[in-house]
Amino acid sequence: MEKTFLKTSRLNQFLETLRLFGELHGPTVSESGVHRFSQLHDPAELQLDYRRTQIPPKKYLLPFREEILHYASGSYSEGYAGAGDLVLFGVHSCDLEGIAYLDRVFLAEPVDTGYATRRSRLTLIGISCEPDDFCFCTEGMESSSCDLFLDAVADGFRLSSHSARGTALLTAAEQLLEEGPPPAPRPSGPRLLPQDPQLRFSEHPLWRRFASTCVSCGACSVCCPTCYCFDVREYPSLSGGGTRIREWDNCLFASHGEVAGANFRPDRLDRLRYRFLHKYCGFTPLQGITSCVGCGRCKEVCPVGIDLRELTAPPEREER
Amino acid sequence: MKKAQHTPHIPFAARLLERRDLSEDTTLFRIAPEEGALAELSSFVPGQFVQLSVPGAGEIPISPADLPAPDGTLELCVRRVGHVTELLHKQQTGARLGIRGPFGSGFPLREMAGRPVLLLAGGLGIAPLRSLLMHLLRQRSSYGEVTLMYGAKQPRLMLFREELTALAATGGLRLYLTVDFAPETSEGEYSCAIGLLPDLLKGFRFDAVNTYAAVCGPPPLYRCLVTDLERAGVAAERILLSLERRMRCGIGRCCHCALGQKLCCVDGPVFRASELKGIPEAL
Amino acid sequence: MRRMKLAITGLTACSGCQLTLLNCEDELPELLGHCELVYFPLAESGNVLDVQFDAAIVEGAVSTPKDLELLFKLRNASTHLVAYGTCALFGGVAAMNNRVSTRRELLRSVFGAGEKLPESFPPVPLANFVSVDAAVTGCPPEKQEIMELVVALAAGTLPPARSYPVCTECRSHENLCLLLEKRELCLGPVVQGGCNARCPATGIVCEGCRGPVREANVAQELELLLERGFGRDEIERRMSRFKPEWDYGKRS
Repeated sequence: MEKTFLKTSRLNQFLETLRLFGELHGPTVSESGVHRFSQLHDPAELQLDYRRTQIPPKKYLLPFREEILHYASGSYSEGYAGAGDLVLFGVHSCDLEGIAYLDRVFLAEPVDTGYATRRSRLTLIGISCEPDDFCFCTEGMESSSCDLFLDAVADGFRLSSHSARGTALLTAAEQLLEEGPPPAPRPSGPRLLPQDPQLRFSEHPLWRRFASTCVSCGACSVCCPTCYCFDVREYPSLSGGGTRIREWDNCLFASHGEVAGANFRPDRLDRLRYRFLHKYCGFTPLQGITSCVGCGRCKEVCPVGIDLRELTAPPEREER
Repeated sequence: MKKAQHTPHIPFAARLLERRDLSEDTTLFRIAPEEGALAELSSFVPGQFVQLSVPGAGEIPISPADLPAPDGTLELCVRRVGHVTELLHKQQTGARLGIRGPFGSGFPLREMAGRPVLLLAGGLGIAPLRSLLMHLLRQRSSYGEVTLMYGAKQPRLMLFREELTALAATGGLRLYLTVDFAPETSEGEYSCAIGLLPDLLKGFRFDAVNTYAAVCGPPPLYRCLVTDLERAGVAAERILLSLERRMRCGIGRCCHCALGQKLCCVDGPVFRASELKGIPEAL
Repeated sequence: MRRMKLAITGLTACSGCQLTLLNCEDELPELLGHCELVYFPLAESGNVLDVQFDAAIVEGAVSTPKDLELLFKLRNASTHLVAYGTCALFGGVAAMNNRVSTRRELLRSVFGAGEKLPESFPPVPLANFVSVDAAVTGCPPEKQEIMELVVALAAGTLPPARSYPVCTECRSHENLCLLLEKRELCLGPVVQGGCNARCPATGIVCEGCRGPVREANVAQELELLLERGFGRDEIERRMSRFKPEWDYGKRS
């Protein structure tokens, strides 16, 4: 039998081994009590029983704001600064699927330089989880979009490798591992089925209600593992040069569908329809693919309790 | 062996060679892109767009007003509307710019071969259609009758008027010009109709079954022209619309230019009217 | 290269915005290579008003005949007029009581009964009297935003527009949501971001110092706060701290 079992008592040593592969990050909690992925200086900071971090791991691949071009002495040059090796430990299946979706967007031709470099230096270590009331994933699914996956059982973790790097990790940690039965194969793959694009024009009364209560705070898309719309802006410098940046953008903002002299999504209802369409039906070339991974963040962070998925359920009869 | 691709978000350098004011707020800029850009631009199909950078201000999508000239220069017709175009309009010849592209899909030229083509341009919409027109006229024998109907708000806002009239005089182009409104001072100054484009179209007899129509103009124009063209007998598959959106990245990522499940920068900016059925936000 | 001629001044305000500009110590030396501070009374750097300015950067609300006179003078003499700071854009702190008390009552409470009261009217934004070409919001504005503006002006352009509420940056920085988690009177959803959510990042609610964001759903924010048990008066009081007039029925 293969050595694939890690006893809980050896987790800290295992984490130390992971540091050989890059800067170690994992789920922690901030002073104000917010769960987030951050650097693990001390294994004691690790919050393995976390439900979800406020911002998904996309922040490591697509920073909120990033310099993409520099302009100096007459020409533009690559502005992206480069990346170091990073090991992200303790990622739930939904977030792994989120990264797999972003990969399809940013690693497709023409490849996005910044994303591709950061992605190639990112080692992903998944972990099984317990869903809560906000989650809407299919329970029991396990994402294979990672290098190594840890299935938590009573006294430890069953490890399964999903890449050459995962196998290298297992080899490096060999002396910490024990023989154990291989993890039971679990179904993997997309969690939610794509929706019918025409649903965005449905007569469902929730459309109007959502449009009137949405505060356009942008939290749902900021916190979504697969929202990646970005704005591009350029700032001159005094030396005659300039910097072009890209920054997370949001389809719920009025400026998103604007052109000079017109707005193709002038109302919040149009913008909610756009969001539904992108999230659950997909755009070229990912048409027909839902990008919702069921992490539950949008529902948890929405100040007015909007859950777009309710639009796909038949309207409830009003109580009389 | 496949040539190493240029990183698509980095613009090539280009120089402003010449500028010609076409109206009070619209100027034709002739630019000379550096060698690397020329190789990519050589594949340009009328209707495609490029991303023009004005250093310090940013980037804007522009559909060139003509195919790249044999000397590699490119004509871009730009109206002063935002902070990027504002800075572009302040540039003097010799200024350094940036260019990426071409991006998107252009007009289906192969399919249009041998057929009559009706171009309908409103306002600045003449710019993208001019590259198609120039192509049609250069390959005149490969196409059927070529007709341009061009409407501007006022005579002084009509772009390329003299050039278009000269082209019409060669006999290769049927030209109809119209203005929404003509101030009294210009009486007799221009020979053009007064009225809207759809009015011009109403009185026009043509081979609707075989004709390809190419439309570009301000947003409200499309809906009414598509209806009129279909009513006249032009199939929606042969009504080609060049749409405007705020393409930020040009390569299908930033998602600002989505219409329905399509992205204007990848699937467009030229769409068939038939593709846009059921997408109310498209037009 | 020709140096850009600048006027920097304040109307009815605390001069905090101008001080923010003066506090850009790292950038000022290079900036001065590109700008000529023709009129900047606060910094005692130039006092000349009768020239043509490339830009006038004006702090403060308009509340006296003198304010108005200076504003008109600058508008006429400048290619670009910049509304600098929340007072210039929305009336600001000086205007918070515009809807509560009359000007006369307020002047009395400051100068005392029986004293000769200075001539003044309720403070209003610059745009009530003149056209404004560019704006930098904030009380005070972020250093970075004012530098972006001045540098863009020097380069012959304006900084690109951006518009998102405080929540966008606040969530992206993984702060605790004070509105949802602590049920506090936070104005994040309706207030213009760009401040990196400075206050919520330290556990203090957004008090709205940057004014309303473009797509502010004011009616829903009001409902949210009422649901959390705050009184209508308290909410309106807080909301008018930096901008006296809100359309509480606005949803889009």
